Amino acid sequence: MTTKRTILLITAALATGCANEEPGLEHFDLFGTVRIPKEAAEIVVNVTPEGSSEAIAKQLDADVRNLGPVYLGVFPSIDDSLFDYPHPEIGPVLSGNSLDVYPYGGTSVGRPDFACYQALRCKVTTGRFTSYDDILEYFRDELETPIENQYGDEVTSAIEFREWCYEIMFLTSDEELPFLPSEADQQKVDFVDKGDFWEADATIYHSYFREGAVVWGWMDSPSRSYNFASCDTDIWGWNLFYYDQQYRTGATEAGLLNAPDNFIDLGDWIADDVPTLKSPDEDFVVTLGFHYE
Amino acid sequence: MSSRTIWALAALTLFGCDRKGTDLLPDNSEFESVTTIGDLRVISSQEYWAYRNAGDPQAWCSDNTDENGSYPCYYGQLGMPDAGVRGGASYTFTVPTVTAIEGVEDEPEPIENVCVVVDPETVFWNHSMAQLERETKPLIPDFHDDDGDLDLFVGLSSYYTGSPGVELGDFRGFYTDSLGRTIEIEYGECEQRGQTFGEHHAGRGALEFCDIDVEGREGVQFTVVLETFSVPLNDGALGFGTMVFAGDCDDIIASPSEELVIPEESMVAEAVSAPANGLPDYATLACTFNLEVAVSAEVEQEFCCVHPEMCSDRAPDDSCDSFIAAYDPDTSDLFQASESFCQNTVYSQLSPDAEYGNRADDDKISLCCTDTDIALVDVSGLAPPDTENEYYRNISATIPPAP
Repeated sequence: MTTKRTILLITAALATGCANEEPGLEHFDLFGTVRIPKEAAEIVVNVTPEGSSEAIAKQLDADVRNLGPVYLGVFPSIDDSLFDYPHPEIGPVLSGNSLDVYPYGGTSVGRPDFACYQALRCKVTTGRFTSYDDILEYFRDELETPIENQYGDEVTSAIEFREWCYEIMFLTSDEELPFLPSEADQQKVDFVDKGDFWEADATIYHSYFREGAVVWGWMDSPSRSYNFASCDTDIWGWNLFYYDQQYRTGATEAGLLNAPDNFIDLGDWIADDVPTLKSPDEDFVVTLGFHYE
Repeated sequence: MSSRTIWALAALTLFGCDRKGTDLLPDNSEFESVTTIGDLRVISSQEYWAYRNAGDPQAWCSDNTDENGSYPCYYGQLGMPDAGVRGGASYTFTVPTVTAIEGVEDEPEPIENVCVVVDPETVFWNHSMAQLERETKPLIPDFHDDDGDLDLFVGLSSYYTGSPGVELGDFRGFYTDSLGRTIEIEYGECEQRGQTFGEHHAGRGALEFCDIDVEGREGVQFTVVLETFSVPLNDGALGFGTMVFAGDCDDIIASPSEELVIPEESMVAEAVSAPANGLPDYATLACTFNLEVAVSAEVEQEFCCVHPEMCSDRAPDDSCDSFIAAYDPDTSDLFQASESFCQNTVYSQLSPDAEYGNRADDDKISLCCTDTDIALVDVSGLAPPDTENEYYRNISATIPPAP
C-alpha cells in the first residue's frame, strides 16, 4: 500500500512539471513584417555598351530582383545622434573600427549566396530569383553582364547552369540550392508587391527579449558596379577546388549586426519607422524608409 | 557483503574525493604561486638584440635597469598554487613617449605597437604518431615533465581586477544598455596571432605573444598577466622569461616555434634571493640553450639522437636510423654519427642587423651540450654533411680541421 501511494505521489509530482510554461525564459521567436519602399528597387548600375570602352549609368525599373539582402536585429534603442542615419545605441568604444551595438538577436531576409559561377560570387541574393532562367535573364538583359562559364563563354541555358551547379557541388536536386526558391516556398520570392511597398515576412529566431526593445535593420543596396558591401570574397565562404576552378566562394561578412556602421553605404535603405516591442507575442512591422544618400 | 563493509567502502570513496594528487609533485613551497614583478620598461630594438645575444641573458636583464630602476626583461620561477586558486605573475608597463635625439632634425616616429612576450620553460614539439610518412615529424617524443605553461593576458591597468602579488585578476567588465541588460565585455587587448575568434593560448613550453596597439596612448599604463596553466612535474618550479618589445612581434618572432626569442628560461629550481640592486641570478639548466637552438632550427630529432637524456625515453627503436644514414651511409654506428653531427653542426646567432634568414656568421654555437661526457671521436673520415639537406635549413655546418 505504501509503495502504491509513493508511486502515485511521484507520478503526480512529475505530472505537474508538464504544466510548467517556463516563465523565466528570456528568449523568444519574434515574428513580423519588413517593408521597403517601392523606389528602393529602382537602382542605377553601370553598363558598358557593346563596342564601347566607357561605362554609362543605366536606370533599372522597380524589380524585386534589384533588392539586396535585408538585415534585421533587435536592439535596446535607436540613437539618431550617432550617424547621418538612424542607428542603434552603441556600447563602450573599444576601438575605432568596432562600434558594437550588442544586439539582442537578428536575422536576414535574403542573403548573398554562391550561385555556382565565379562571376556570381556575392552577386546573387537568396529569395530574389525564381529560376535559373530568371538569373540568366537578369544578368544578361538588366545588368548587361552575361554570366560566363569556366571557359569564359556565356551561359545560355538553364540546363548548363544546373549541370555545373550539380557537378561542382555534388548536388542532386535544386532544393539544395538556397538561391532558388524551394517547393515549400511555392517557387516564390521573399518580397511581394504591396502597392507603395515591398513586403516580406521576417522571423527573428531565439532573440533575447526585453520590453521596450526595437527592431531595426537595413537593406544592403547594390552599388553601381553591382557589389554588396555586406558580402566578401576574400576571406568568407568556402574554398572551391574543382580542377582549374580554385577560389573562395564568398559569403556575408562577420559582425553585420554587431557593428552595422562598418557595412552601411550610401544608397542603402535603413529602418526609420522602428517598432517598439511590448510583448514577444506581438507581431512587428518595420519599415526601411530612410534612404541614405 | 555486510552493511559494515559497504559503509567502510563508502567512507573510503568519499576520502578519495578529497585527494588533490599534490603528493605526486616535488615540494615547491619555496616558490611563490602568485607574485608581482612590478614595472617593466619597454625594450628598444637595439637593447633587445644586445639581450638576445648576451652570454648570460638573466644577468643582462638584471644589470640594465633604467634611471627609475625598471628592468627591460624579467626571469622568474613560479610554484604551483593551491587548489582553486589562480596562480601566476603580473606586471605593468607604461607606453613610452618617443623624443628626438639631440642634434637630429628628423621628427621621431611614435611607437605604434608593442609586442608582449612570455616564454614558459622549456620546449615542445609534435612527434610522429603514424607509421606512414614518419619523416615529417620527429620520432622521439618531447619530454613532457620539464614543460610548463603560462597563459598571457594584457589590458589597460584601469580595467584590471586583480591585486598585484595577492590575487590574480582579469580584464572583464560589464556594460549595461539603456534597457538595463548587463553584458560582459572583455577589455583584454591581447589577441594571439592566428586566432581570430575567442580566447586561445599556446600550449606547453611554447612562446605566447601578442601585439598591443599603443598609438596615441603615450603615458598609459598596461597590465600584463601571466596565468599559470601547468607547472613542470620534474621540479615543481615553472621558469619563465618575459618582456615588452617596442615594435611589432613580426620584428623579432619568425615563427611561433621560435624558442630563442627569450632564451634560457629553463632554470635550476632553487629559491635564489635577489641581491640589493638586481634580480636573482638564476642558473640556466644544463644544455637548455642547445635544446632551444635545436628546436628553433627544427633538428629536434638529431638533437635527441645525440642527447637522449634530454628527450623522452618513449622513442621507437629505429628513431635514429635515418639520422645515421643522413650522415654516414657506410656506418650504422649511432655513437659515431652522433658525434659527427654534434661536432659539425653549429648555429649562427642572429645579429642586431640581421633579417630573418640572413644569419651573421661571426658567433656560432655548437649543438653539443657542454657538459656532455661523451668522448669525442675522429670524424675526419666521415662524409661531410650535405648543406642542402633539409636538416640544415636554419643552421650551417662546417667540418673542423682534422686533429
